Amino acid sequence: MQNGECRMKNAARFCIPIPSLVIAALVCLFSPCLRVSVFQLSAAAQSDDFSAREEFALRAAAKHVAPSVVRVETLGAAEGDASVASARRSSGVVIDAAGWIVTSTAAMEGDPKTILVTLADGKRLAARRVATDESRQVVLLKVDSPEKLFVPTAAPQREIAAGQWAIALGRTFDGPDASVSVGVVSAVGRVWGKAIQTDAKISPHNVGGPLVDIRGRVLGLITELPLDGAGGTEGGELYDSGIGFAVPWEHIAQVWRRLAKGENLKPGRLGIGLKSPDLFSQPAVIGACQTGSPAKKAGLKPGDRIVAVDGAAIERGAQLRQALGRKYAGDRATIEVERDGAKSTHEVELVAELPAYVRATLGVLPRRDEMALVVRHVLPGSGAETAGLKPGDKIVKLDDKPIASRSDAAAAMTEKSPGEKLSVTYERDGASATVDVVLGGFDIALPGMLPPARASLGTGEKPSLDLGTAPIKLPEFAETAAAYVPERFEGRVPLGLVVWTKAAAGENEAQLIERWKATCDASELILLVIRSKKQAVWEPGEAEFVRRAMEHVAGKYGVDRTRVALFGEGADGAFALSLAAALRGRVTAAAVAEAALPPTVELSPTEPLAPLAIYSAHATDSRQARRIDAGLARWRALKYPVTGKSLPAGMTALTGDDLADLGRWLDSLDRL
Amino acid sequence: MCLAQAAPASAIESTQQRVVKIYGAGGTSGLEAYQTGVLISAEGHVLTAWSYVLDTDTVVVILHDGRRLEGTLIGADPKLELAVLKVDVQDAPHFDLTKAPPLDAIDAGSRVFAVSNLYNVATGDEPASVQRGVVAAKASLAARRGSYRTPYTGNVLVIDAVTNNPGAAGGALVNARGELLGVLGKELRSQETNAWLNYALPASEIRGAVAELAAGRGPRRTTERASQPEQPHTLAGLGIVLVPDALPKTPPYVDRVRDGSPAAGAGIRPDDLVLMIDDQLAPSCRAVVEGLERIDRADAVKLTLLRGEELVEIKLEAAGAKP
Repeated sequence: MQNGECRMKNAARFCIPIPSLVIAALVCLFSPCLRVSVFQLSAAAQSDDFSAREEFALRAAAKHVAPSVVRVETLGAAEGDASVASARRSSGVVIDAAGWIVTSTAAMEGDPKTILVTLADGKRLAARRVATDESRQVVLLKVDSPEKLFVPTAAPQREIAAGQWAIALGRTFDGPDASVSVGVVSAVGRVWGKAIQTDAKISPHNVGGPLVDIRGRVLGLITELPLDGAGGTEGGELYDSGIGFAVPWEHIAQVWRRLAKGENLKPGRLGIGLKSPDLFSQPAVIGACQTGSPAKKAGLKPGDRIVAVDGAAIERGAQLRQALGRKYAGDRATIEVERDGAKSTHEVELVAELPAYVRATLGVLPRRDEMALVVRHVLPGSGAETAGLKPGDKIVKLDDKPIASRSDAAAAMTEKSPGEKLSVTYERDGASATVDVVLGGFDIALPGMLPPARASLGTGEKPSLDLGTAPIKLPEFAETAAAYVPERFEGRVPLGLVVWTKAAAGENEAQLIERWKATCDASELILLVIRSKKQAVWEPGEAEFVRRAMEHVAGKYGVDRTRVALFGEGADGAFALSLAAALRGRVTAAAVAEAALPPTVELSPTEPLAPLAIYSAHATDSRQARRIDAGLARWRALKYPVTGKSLPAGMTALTGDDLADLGRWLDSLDRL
Repeated sequence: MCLAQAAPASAIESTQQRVVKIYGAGGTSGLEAYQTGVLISAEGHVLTAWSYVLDTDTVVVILHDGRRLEGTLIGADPKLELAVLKVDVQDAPHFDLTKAPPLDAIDAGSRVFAVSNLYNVATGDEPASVQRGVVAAKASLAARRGSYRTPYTGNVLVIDAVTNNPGAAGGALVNARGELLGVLGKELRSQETNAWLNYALPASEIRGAVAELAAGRGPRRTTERASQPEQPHTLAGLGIVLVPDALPKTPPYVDRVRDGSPAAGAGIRPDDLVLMIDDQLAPSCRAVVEGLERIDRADAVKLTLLRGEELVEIKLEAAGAKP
């Protein structure tokens, strides 16, 4: 607890006014029956007094900082979404008397053309945006103020502790006073080391404003930081929830001069993917090092276990993220790793952007009924075909690494880029040979037919799982779904999963399943149809049910994780695309017909351990052609593998041969 | 010990005795059949929110101690969204609205308590629920036109606590001394941000209107003008021509200014960007026209313009100028 508060609380306990103490004592001596009520009276007077003084202190703290709180209004912001108003109000705080103001990136949504700042005294000034700290979601503005502006004092970051008073101020209401919301500091070092957490009500009324302690010092700047730190507007969902975040004011005071020079600050990236997606219980073992990344340049390799960053011990993935999460591009870090029992230290300089990761492939489809990597099919036009690989070949070494399974091969491929040569050692008819294969990209043309992925079509034993069409219901959700599992499935060779997100209107589950049955059987896929609650529209909250239902089915049937796709047509397809962007890693493909990626969906750079491939079909005369192509261009710009397909004029859904074509594309998602 | 009390027990107790639970029409598909009210006279006048709950012949009013009375609607004000009921009781503990602290005596940050039957948690004999918070701000809901869908255009007390829940409308907002500061409003959501607003109508501001309702005289017809003036301002009348309104939201740049017009006389220039009409943001040509339509020609209108990087505020009067 802060020193100031201890003093106040102690004072209340011991500074009982003398006269009431004397009277209380006298009355107690002479009339025992009155003792209880007198104590109640004086206690009530004390509590009244203490409460009143505490309230006074909180109001005084708010009043003290209020002159530095400004209103930020923006005009002319782009409206991607109809629900966003074109004129928006937020708050801001003066950081320098010469007219420098900080606010949250939430205020600058849609890149507004005009920014107006209203000072505490009511004066309105035009403002220009100078720079952004993308890691902390803070924007620096400059106004030309004739007078010096009031700058608040910072609370020393080291002293900030959970439980102390925290007052959130804003200036979005009219009137001379700043709005007040009172709570406490809930925790420090949140959002991967970057923020103070508070339970003061954070809402559009005070985002961009200051979080203040009871002594009138600024703890931090209230922001909309989303919990997973991935960017986007998820932070807005936390309004009025009991959780809010503020970036420490002392930190902003340290970096704002860099922003004032026009330098945008970005989060620093190392360029590794961890082997285990479970950050909280698994050690930080590197799964992949991206080509051209600081990690690769420093000599880190997949398999290395990170044991310390900047001298602090790391035992779990989450701690690594916590240590690196607060660093900017350009910052350095000292990484200590353990490899084959020996420890070594590496210096890295983090970067803002990593070179885009482009998936490389040999051009073979693997057999699915073998542990080892056995070629099922060689894709025409691929490096594997040129090198002479044939179905039945068993690949045992890539470069010098022994390959015992398909996942070994996949891991080895993450280090490579298209155009590079890979030395492949394989066994055929008892003899082994080595060839050099020139790697290609992911979207190689597919043949008309694919051979089956396994030798036998089932041994006749039926697993104790539901086959055919089965309803899917999860206990906490009202929505329902239905799945179709190919009848031939015997539980041994994992199937792929296609999740069809369908808005309520139109065909029902049974009809959709009927359309896909043949494709599922031929391409070894489970079809999971999920219907939205409302007619023709998906609500963001329903994404959770889709994710849970998908995990439920994937777990129940032991689905092959390299072949999990989302599917949708029209508006459902747009939903599927945005969901796929968010669920990258859990979903490895998105296939849509007549659907464009919504412009407001943010795309993250590709990652070797979270691959996502896109299949998009539309009619030659589609009215959405331009929008669809614009969306595909965005995916391609980030080097996601995109397969485009033309449908006959007037077609907006996939049927017959076109659907079979998609089935084969899905069947080949596990290509290497 | 008692040092943990946030307010004297007597203040809370006396407040709970003055808050009643109201049951009436509704109770299907998301509409509740309950809300809260406050006693405002010894003979049993009850102030509450005017809502569908009162849309029935028999309104049941239950006092804090479980006494069940029948309430009759004697007056309602659709603009304030307030109503007054009458129950048959004598010497009821009540709030005296004439003694309510004035609005300027209430500061942001002042400790408040909301007493209401939110979510109908109190049934039968129990008193209503108490919530604690502070006054977040004093604000006018009408200042941000289109932000909140409510006919009420006066000032409200915005509350830093989640008070405006189902069934809470009509509840009491009091200070630590048990004085009535306001009456909890109905559920309201911002059109811009989708965030719920927790607020109360200030007791001192609604005093007069409530007295009229209690006396059975119906809502007071003030000399307020209709929302749309008969003869509003026009761009032509002021002498301003904006750029052609070609896009869905054309930024309202001034194209030219008519010679000898009020705009010319006030110094408005081509290429000025109109930002605000009477302190309301006007993000498009259409918004400028709509903003002017709300202002009577007889009144002056304040325009805030962006000229280059500078803000310019100009007051225009159309009176005397013939189009």
